[in-house]
Amino acid sequence: MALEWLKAVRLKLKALMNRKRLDRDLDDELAFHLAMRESMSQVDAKDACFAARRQFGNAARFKETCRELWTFIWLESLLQDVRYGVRLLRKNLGFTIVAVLMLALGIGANTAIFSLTYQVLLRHLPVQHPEELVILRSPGPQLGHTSSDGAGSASSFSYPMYRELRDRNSVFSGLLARYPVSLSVAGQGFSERAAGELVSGNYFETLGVRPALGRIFTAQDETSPGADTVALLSYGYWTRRFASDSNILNKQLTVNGVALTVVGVAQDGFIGVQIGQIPDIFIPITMKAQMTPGWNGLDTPRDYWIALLGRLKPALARDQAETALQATYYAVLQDELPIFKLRKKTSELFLQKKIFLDPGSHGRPILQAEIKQLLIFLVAMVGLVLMIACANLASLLIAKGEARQQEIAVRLSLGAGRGRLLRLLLTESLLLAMGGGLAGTAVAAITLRTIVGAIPQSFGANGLEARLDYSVLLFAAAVSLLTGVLFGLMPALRVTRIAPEGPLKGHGSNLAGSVANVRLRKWLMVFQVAMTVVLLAGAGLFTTSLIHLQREDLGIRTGHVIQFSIAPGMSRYSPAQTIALAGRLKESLAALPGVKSVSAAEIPVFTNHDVGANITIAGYVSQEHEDMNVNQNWVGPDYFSTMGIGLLRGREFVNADASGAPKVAVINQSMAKRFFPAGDAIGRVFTFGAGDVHPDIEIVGVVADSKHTHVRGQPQLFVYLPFAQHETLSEITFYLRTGQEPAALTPQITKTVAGYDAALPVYHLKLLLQQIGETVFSDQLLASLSACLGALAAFLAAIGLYGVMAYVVARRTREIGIRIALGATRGNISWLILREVTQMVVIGLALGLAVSFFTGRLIQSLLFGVTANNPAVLALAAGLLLAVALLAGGLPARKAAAVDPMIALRYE
Amino acid sequence: MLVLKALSCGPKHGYAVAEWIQQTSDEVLRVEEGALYPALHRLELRGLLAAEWGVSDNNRRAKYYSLTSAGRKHLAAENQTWDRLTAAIARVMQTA
Repeated sequence: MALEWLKAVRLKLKALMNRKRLDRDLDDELAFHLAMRESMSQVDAKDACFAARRQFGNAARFKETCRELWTFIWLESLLQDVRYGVRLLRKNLGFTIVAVLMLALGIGANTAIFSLTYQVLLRHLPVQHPEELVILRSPGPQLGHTSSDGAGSASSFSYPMYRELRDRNSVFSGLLARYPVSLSVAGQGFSERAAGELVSGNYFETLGVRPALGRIFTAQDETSPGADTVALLSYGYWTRRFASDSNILNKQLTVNGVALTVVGVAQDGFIGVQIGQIPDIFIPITMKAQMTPGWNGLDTPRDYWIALLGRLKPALARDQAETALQATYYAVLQDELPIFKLRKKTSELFLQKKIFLDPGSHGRPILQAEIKQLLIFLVAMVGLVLMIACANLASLLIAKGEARQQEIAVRLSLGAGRGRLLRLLLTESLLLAMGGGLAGTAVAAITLRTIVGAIPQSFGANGLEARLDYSVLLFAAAVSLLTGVLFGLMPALRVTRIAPEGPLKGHGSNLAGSVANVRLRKWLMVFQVAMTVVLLAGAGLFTTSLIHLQREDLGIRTGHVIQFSIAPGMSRYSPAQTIALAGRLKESLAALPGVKSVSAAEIPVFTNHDVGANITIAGYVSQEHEDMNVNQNWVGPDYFSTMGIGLLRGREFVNADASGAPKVAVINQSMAKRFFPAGDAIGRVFTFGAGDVHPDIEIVGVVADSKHTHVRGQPQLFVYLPFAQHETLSEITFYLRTGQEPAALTPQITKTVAGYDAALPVYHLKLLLQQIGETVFSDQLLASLSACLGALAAFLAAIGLYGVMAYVVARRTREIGIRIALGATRGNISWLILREVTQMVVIGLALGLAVSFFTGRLIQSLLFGVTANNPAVLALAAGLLLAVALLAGGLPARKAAAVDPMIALRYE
Repeated sequence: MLVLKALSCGPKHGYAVAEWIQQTSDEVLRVEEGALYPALHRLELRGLLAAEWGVSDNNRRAKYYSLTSAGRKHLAAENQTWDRLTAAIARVMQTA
């Protein structure tokens, strides 16, 4: 059947190529028949001709039937429609441009946001059969140290546990382990920070990733701790850093002070197993102790840190595998139990731990969880804008349709089918939509590049690309098609519903139809206003929230401070060497021109890092279950004066607070209030830990509260310690307060550090303000995008209102003329028109505000310092829209007021 | 089916097909002759007929149709169905 059909299509195509011949052949064939019949007949020529034709029947009809058989009739009429549509759109160039522009902005915004959503939420990992991947998770007691990220500690496993599960399970065709690390990489002529991934030997094999160069890791690369000195580069890093030079194979790189041999480059397109976290260098997990100085973690089941991903054996369902794995897990837990020496109750809980397999086709869903809400709101906002644009266009098309009623009526009365006419009109709107889609793709590309370019590295969304791949383009095409039908169908249905006699008889007789049209357009307008006010309210809320965030008192003087970090510990510096280097660097940096003061801290501010510990204070009797946890940071001399944190009592750290000197600490006000309400903090001693400990750290100062990790939230209890007394200091961040533009110091800073050690990478080199700005990136994105979209929506609403009201005024010119003739003032007439505008807008506002009221609750969690139902913001949004509306409606109103009654009465 | 049968004994042009049907049916089957052509073209598109331009007995350009192998098979099948159908009808009529 299909073959037959194909054959027919081929024949038809051949005929299509040669239309003229087809027609001629048909004519010839029928003419031949008639001629034969004539010549066979015995009567005279004229009668014979008639007789032949009589016997033959309606030749034209048969010819037409034959022609239809041979051609793709629908294709031809489609082409006709397209040609006609293009001609018409070119004739109404102004309308076409406005419509295409509106659609381009709407579709472009949607496409851009879709691309982001697709890359973060929808795309599978680019590995073989991603649907077979699962992520392991085991909630329950973890006895020892845990290290976890957004996935929670239940997703962290110990290395011994990994090996047992890998070797004893019967459900995975491969079980891989990975742990992300920061690296200091030094090669020939460069040193920099890079993103590393410690991986098990079967990592690439399990994921089905091939080498682009050299080889991938195998089980032979996971032998014994510290022995596997090899590295594999990601394709992106190889291209970026080594310009795709294949000579890199078998060369050595110094990574965190260890010489590693590059054995390969991973396949192009492989981005690791966690979206947003793209590794540059892969290193065998057995190198853990060398890569994270001061912490091994390979040797004990008490360290929970590795994320595990498994590939299910083919055709094995996830729940089946989960059930089958419990027995293995239980056996391993029982083997581990003696190591922990637990009390009976805890060991019961420990043995009850279950293992769960979560779907892993999208990789570890950390970024997804973090920005899902943000993306959904963006999708909703751009969707609203597109709906507004659709409503607007539908309204314009209704007006245009009315102008074309004569034409349509002629077509209908000449026998055009309603379906055929509908198709004609829809073709027109689809053409518009396609134009909008094409232009929208350009808009999307620009928008996307702007957004992706603005994403700071610290946002954890690395590797997002501003690209429009085929799935995104497909989306754009689908959206264009949908919008075309959405805004085109209703006007087309209305226009073709008219009875043909009406418009042909002349104007005025179709008043009922146009009254209905006006009503419909007004409702479309109300809808637009409502949606616009929702968007404006959102924009107002997000902007207010951002302003609050930016004005929030952080307790730090943020202007004129530049920061940078170094990690000497990653370049084989001992803590003592690091402390010495920090001291020398401080002096050199302070000597730079324009620098007022310099200090340093172990944990940089506003980077989402915090470290806390329990304390025991001499002479403080804690309640049972009292939370004795305080945040801590190790800082250098002059830290508080450099950061602008006010010193309330006592002193700050000085050079004399060195290793070996008496241990000292400075606490913040919150901590002083909490533990020393009598104001006697200075001179008291405490220490870290609980139980049988000896407090030996003396409090020498109290400073004002300041925020440390994020702009949101309250200042925490904080204790500062001098980093010179830090026994495992490895990383350090400097802060320079300057009298001039701090960014100008950038080259001198790198030069100064390189002067001490050229192999020491400098990173996080930026203004403190920039660092803080990055922590509110998503708020900035929401505020600026929603403001843009709100403005766009308001603009569309203005165009729409103007269009509707201009139309209303034109319709009512005669009525207005009569009114003026009867003594109505210009003011009366203006009000007549403006009243209609106000009516529409007020209904729209009421609806919109009601919707905002409900959607407000959904966005509350994204807001800071403002409630979602903030009346001032809502009133502002409403007021703004009302002003825009009156402006847009004011022009037609003025035109109405200027109507000359004489002309108006002669009108029509 | 009639058209296929008409062509089973060699290529013919449209007029000849019409004549053949009229004559062999003793003028019982008379239709508008023009209706023959859409039928011919439909069969050609279905691949049951092949068409070729040639010169007629009286030296005019004419389109000759002939059966393809698919057409032959189709005719045989149609024939069988037809035989079964007429036989069945005949049996039903005889019982009365």
